[in-house]
Amino acid sequence: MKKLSGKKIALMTLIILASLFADYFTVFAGKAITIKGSDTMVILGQRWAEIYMSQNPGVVIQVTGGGSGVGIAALINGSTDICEASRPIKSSEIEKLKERFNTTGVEIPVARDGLAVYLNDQSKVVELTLEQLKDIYTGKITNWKELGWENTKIVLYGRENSSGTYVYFKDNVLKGADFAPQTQTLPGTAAIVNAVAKDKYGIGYGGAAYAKGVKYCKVKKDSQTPGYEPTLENIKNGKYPISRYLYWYLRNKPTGEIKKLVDFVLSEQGQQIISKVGYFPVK
Amino acid sequence: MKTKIFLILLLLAIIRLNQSWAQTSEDSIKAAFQETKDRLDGISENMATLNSDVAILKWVKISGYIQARYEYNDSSKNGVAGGYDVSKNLNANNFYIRRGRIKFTIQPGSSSKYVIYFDASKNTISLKETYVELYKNIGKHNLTLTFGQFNYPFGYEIEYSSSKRDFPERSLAETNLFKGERDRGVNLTWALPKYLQFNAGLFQGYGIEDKNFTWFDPTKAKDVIGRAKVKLGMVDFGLSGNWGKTYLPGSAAVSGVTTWYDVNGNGVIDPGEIKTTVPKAAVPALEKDKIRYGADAQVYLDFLPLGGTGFRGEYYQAKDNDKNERGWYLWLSQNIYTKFGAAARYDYWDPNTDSNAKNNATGTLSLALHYFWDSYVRVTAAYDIPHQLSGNSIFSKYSGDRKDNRFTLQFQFMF
Repeated sequence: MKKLSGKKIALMTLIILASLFADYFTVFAGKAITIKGSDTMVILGQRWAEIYMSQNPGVVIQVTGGGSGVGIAALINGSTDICEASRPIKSSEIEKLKERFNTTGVEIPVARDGLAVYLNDQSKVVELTLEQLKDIYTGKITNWKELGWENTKIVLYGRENSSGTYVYFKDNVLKGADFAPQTQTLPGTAAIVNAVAKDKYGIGYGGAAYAKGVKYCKVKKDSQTPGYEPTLENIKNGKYPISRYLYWYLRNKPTGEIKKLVDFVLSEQGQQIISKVGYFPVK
Repeated sequence: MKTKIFLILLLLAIIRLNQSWAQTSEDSIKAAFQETKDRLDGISENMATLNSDVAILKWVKISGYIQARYEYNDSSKNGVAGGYDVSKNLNANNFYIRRGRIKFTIQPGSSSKYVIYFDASKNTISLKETYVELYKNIGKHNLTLTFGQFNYPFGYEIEYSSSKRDFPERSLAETNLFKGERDRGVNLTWALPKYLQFNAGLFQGYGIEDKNFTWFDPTKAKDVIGRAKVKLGMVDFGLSGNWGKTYLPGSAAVSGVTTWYDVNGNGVIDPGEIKTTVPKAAVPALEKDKIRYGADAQVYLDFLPLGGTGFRGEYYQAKDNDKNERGWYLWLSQNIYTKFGAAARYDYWDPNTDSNAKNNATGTLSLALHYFWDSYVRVTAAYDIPHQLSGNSIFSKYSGDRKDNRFTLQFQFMF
């Protein structure tokens, strides 16, 4: 029997692999578009998807949360088409995209958000400076008495470290310092709002769109400046000190149905949806 | 009258009794409330303890990958050349585990990290890396101090994980100049993460796979390695340098001795029965300069609807033991949607640029095709075509080129 050469074996293997998985070459033939990432942006993503699907029958869009870090990881490992992120992509994450997909990724700011600080309705505290917020969340201030209220321990609620909100708060309010170990981590902004609503002595942070059953804490840049709530006007004119962009990340320049979806999100209609959900348009 | 007094007294007694009952009832409610509150406080304390215990588990991250391979080599023959010495095996067609890696990263906060990283492949388990990292951020400047056993901060290929590389092995220049890719030492990194990175370190200089100097350095001076990397978005480039010493062991003096051995026992010196050993002077151990320079660039383009296109290239120039060496590669990588990838590389290595020998340098063309089964599994089929090159040519094949093309089929699971 004639012996097979290395070249022949290689060729046969390539042909077998190609024929086994040829169906994957038919990209987007009836395939759902997947959007994954920031919990802050889930509701926004769902609204966009619902309206886009109602206007484009036959297109299926699946929107899920998990946190910005989870969404970016999914973008890197190819398990989502679009990543929603409430923080900018990190340099180390871009490096991973380069390694796996030979791309630096495409960043699209789709909305703006004020990062709200929530207090229970019964709280007597009305406003806090950025410095006080930092001291509270790093464990330097532990009692409401230090802030002019009752002699009671402050109960801290925060997000998991896969969350873009967590990263943004840590970088911009805590200035990179670690959260106090007693911070109770909860899976999603809605869970934080729920916890603060039930806890008279609780404090939490998250997207402005979720603040139902709690009150906003006014935030001051420093002790000399007035405090502001995260309203559209305050965020637009830069008075509210904790605001950020919300992003969509793609692996490559959008084409086909994904490009149409991106165009819709950035259109007048898409930007109006942002205001209805409680965030702020970028256009 | 007596009846009225009795009724009033009775009424007063009932009111008093009722007050007493009410008091008792209020007290018991208060006690129950307090008990419930105490229990809730207890649960809260337990929850806090549980939370901090679970938070400790979050410090630990486990990652790794395994590469299971089949290799078919044109040079394979049945049998072994040196008895059962595996290193002299004539057959190179094998199923084997090329890399079986597991890494434990322990990071309690944002200021420090500890890593220990093992490899279980072929028939051995070895320690690849173990180090401590300290972090300090000053504004947008990130400083990292690394101490232990870790990758040389030289060039692009070394830090590029084998789990991500398109080809089964790194370039010949890298594998010859930096065996094992890792060494023991200390490194300081200063970075503006999105744009610039500088590394400067001191290392033993012999790597973790040197056969003679497994853990100690025979030279007092340590190797200095530095690297600068610039990131411009679509284009990244870097320059690296390594300055150190190579140790060449000496030999003891040999005295001249003349011996006669009467082979035929006739008591006469016959021809061939006298042997003379030529005396040799002692050869002192030497330290020779070891110099390595590297330049690398990567370009990422997004112009094809198929997916991203990457061009990578790297150049090595080295001097070891008064011998000049040179190597480079050009690597093209193309993603084909999310499920496929294809790549080609030409890898040139000349271990002695001063030699004009016909089989001195090697040029290897490698082709690879990937299929990504899911987020964890990558199947790779690769074909390497090495050519011994004619003279100092970089492409022209030597007429007596060996038949040593190699086909590799690899299944990789990464987590």
